[in-house]
Amino acid sequence: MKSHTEYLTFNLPQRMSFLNITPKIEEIVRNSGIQEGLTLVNAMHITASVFINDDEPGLHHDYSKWLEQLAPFDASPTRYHHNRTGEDNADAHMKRQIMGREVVIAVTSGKLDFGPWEQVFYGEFDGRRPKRVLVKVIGE
Amino acid sequence: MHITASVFINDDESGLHEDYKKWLEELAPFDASPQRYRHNRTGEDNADAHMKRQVMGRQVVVAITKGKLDFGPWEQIFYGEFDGRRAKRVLVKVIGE
Repeated sequence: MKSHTEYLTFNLPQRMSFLNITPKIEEIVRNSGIQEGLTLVNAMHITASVFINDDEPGLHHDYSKWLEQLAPFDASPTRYHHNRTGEDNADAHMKRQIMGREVVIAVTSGKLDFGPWEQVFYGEFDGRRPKRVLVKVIGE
Repeated sequence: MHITASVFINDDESGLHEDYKKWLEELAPFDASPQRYRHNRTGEDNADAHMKRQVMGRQVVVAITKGKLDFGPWEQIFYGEFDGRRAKRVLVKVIGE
């Protein structure tokens, strides 16, 4: 079994935003030379997500609004105990749980074996600093 | 391995865990009555736990690089229980070379 690991770094200027990282994952799979296997893509930070969904800006706007309703940003220590530690990002830890930490994608004939609209996104919920994503491809 | 429990990765900070509990209770309140949740018409009382588990997730997949879990700076693995007070199992499978 072969394995190939790379790390990507993202520094998004907004607190919350979504970035299509599919081309970068495709490049890493090509670099790996693996024809049949699995690709793991995970956020290495606990206020960020990697998820698969639609590359449609209206939907991303909807996600932002919906996540803000489910877990509103509130830096005060009143709503979130976590923010009593001096942090202000408790909401981001919740948003990340909804959107997920990682995806595992099949590699078939050397390519990511996607459905018709699947695209891989990095979801940032506490941005404005560099954060890493791990990509590991295993197989043959 | 149980459908009212989670395995997830996040921060080992007790305040955050309190926040998760409160937040999950708001999103899917415990309610044993059969009115709010149809699942509880079966005689069970844990419909809320099935929802909380969906929010927090079922599994994590963690890369192993050079024989170690390849974590970011704050990543820690948690078992999340939403209908406890009984024995439940977690499966761990490691593959590779």
